[in-house]
Amino acid sequence: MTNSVELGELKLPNPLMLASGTWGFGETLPRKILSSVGALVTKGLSLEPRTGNPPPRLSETPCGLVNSIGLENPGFEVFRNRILPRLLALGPPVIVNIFGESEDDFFRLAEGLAETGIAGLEVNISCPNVKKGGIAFARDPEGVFRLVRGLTSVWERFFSVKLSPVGPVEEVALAAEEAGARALTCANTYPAMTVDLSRGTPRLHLGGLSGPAIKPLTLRLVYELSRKVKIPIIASGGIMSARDALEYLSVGARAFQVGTAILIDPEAPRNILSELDVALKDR
Amino acid sequence: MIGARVVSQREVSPGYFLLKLEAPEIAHQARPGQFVKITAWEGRDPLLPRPFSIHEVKDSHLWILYQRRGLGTKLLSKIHRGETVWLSGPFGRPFPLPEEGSVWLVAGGVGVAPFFFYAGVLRTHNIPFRFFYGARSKGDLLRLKHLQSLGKLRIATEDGSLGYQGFVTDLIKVQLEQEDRPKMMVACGPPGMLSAVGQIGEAYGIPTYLSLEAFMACGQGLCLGCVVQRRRGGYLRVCLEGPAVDSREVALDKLS
Repeated sequence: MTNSVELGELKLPNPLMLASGTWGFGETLPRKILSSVGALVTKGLSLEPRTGNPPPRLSETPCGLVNSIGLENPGFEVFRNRILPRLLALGPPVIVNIFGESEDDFFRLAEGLAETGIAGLEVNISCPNVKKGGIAFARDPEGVFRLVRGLTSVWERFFSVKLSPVGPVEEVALAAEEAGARALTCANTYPAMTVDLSRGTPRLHLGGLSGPAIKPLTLRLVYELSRKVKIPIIASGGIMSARDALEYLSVGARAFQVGTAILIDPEAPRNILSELDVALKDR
Repeated sequence: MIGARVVSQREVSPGYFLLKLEAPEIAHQARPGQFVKITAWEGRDPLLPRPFSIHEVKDSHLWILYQRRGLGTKLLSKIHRGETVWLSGPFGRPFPLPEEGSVWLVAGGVGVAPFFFYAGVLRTHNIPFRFFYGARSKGDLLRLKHLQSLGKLRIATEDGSLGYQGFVTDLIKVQLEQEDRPKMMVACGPPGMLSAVGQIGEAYGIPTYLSLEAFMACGQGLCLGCVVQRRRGGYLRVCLEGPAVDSREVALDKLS
């Protein structure tokens, strides 16, 4: 049976997307997992390579994971020449998550990716663990409007704006929609930290919380936003099971992303999809 | 993930446990130095499976030797014979097997865990090895009798209650001056010890592999969470480039 969904002009074979930064570039995952999903959203890509943040990069919290990877990635050139061809050959639409420290970085990435055969972009204005760019955009609806409007002049196809769950979320969402975003990814991780009590200092400061702990929070955000915007919402926040996904779909999400669940079990996307098939048949 | 039946579990020393699992597929694939991930609880707290080096393998069984440290290992330590845990792996690069010459295995504390399996395989390949094992005190040395049956063993304890008094790193420095030097050293233990063994190996021109430990999420290169600093810049993923890496790749002063 088919569960295909349409996000504007982008048609996905099913509503499950692999979330950015949670599946590497697929090097170590079985092909059957990668090829079964609705779309592959790549790890955040910057123009230049980024080495990422020093360790510790992970901290576990009750039902959650705080990460501070710092957008480690090989940069545009290596990605386009050595990684992207392999991703495109997997089958599902490839959506490239782009990150910049300035508006111009985003525009140049979009231009560079225009002729590569990717299905769309996810514009990352919400990474909580970098000092420049990232979540700074999420506090500035006008800045988001300018960025998104600018992008529409260099990128004419599908793109989703990945929102931060904090800040003036609704204003940012409306600004992105008005400026021409085709979808919203709701949402990135929650800014979070953990403490090393033996030293009395932060263990991980610029962290982002993901996992089941955040699901009720992001669920509410998706519900609220879906009543404010007309463009499709892609839910992302603590989805571990088909039931979680159905909850998001029932409150207004058109598609959803699975992330932290993959780190626990790479089979999770396939399990969620087959459970979802059964659940949707029952309805 | 697969379900693996717990064949047995016992506390071999206060706070240290030996777990025997039936997992034919993983046991057959496993190589010394690799690790598995285990979930031994229902629900989502703790959220992540825990990584453990493979202690020993025989036929369809594998053994894990671990220390009870946090919530994950506490829950695992309460699992009984006949129960099922969730297992995935094996992950990571195996320990190297030298073409010729001997290997010195240098273990600190519970870092001895992966060397039982390694020693067995070295023996099968007729590769000569010597075993150096350090701990705080006699009571902290794990599975000593079994270890002695595996091959030549030298012990160091910080309090001198057994063997050489001092750090195992001091003991190997003494031995390097007295004996034929090995073709390779492989070390597993706390970060300070690994850093010291790396420095010794480099000072004596002996290729040295350090089996690193890091808090880990996916265990297979997806999240980039378990990194250590690479000496020439950037980071190494403990789960993928390791756990055992050439000491010259690692920024030894940054190990923690």
